[in-house]
Amino acid sequence: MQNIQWKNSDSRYGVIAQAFHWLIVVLIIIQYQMGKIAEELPQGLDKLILMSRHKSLGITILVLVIARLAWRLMNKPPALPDTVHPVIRVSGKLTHLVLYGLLLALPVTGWLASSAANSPVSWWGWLTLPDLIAPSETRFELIGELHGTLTRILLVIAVIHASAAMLHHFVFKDQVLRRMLPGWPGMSDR
Amino acid sequence: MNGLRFGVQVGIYMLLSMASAVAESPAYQAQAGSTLSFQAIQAGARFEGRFEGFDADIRFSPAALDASTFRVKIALNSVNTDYQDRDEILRGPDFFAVDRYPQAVFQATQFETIKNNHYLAKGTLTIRDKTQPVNLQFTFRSPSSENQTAQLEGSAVINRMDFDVGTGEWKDPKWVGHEVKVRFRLVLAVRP
Repeated sequence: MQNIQWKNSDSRYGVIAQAFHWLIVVLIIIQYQMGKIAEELPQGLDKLILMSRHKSLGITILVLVIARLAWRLMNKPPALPDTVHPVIRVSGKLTHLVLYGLLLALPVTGWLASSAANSPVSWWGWLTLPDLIAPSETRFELIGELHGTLTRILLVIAVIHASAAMLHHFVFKDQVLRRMLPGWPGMSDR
Repeated sequence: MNGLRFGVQVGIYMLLSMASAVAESPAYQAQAGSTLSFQAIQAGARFEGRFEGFDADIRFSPAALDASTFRVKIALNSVNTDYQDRDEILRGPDFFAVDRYPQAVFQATQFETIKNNHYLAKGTLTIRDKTQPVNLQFTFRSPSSENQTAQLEGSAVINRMDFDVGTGEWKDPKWVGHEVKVRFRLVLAVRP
């Protein structure tokens, strides 16, 4: 029985960082689909229900992202292999920075839009969040637009991020993708 | 002698006018600054809305509850919850159905004193084609030399299902609460 690597090592992400990464990936895919379907639904109860779940999941993601950032601060991510070109290195850092920014900005703009629409966020029916701003139809329209634009930017950046991981794995043939994948006994890159 | 007769006449006149003041309740009309709001729970979270058009015809005097009456007409089309989509649903057939029932009416002729300056109006509220008994609790401040308007402030809790408000898919209290708290604050001027 091998010891479980909870924390990041010099060459691999630990189980906790990996769990944060993949859990947030899955939740964002669900979140995106829910938001898209809810937006296209006609006014009615189904829209209200789906939108309220979209809000609850959004706040869940916000909490996870904050916890993930805190963990990242306490637990330094593994350094990139020396073989990685400085340009790739910088663009990678930039992409990650924008990704984290979007992961925070999306739930916050969603929360702001809910406040502007005088429809406070209830977190899964357990906790009602305070309103961030006063109700205003014009602000709601504006923030709603911003929320949609940020979503489209996230989509583009996520595709770039995933493509870069593929590039590392199949073209550069380095360990950059594999270190975010669950390990198994006898893995060579320990 | 004439002076005495005059004095007696004035005295009788004053007594009569005092008596009539006790028996009558002054008639008031709601002025700008009056508000009629409500709180309900949507998807687990409380929100507030208001009616911007209403007409309150109030006769009230703490000393003459028997002669007091309330008649409040509310233009349901004027509902405003700061969110257009929701306002449209509220005006629509499942909620107020404003095309068929443009007005809600509250009427009361029975009043009780609960305690000092706290009163109860036992009346009826009509929304859509449903009329149900509704009690309002309120406080009343009479006009004074500093403030020429009277102020009437209070609340009531109603169940929207008693009035068929939110039928069909909206019946489930999990997503739209059945209980609605209505609050009012009326600034009243004596009718000319």
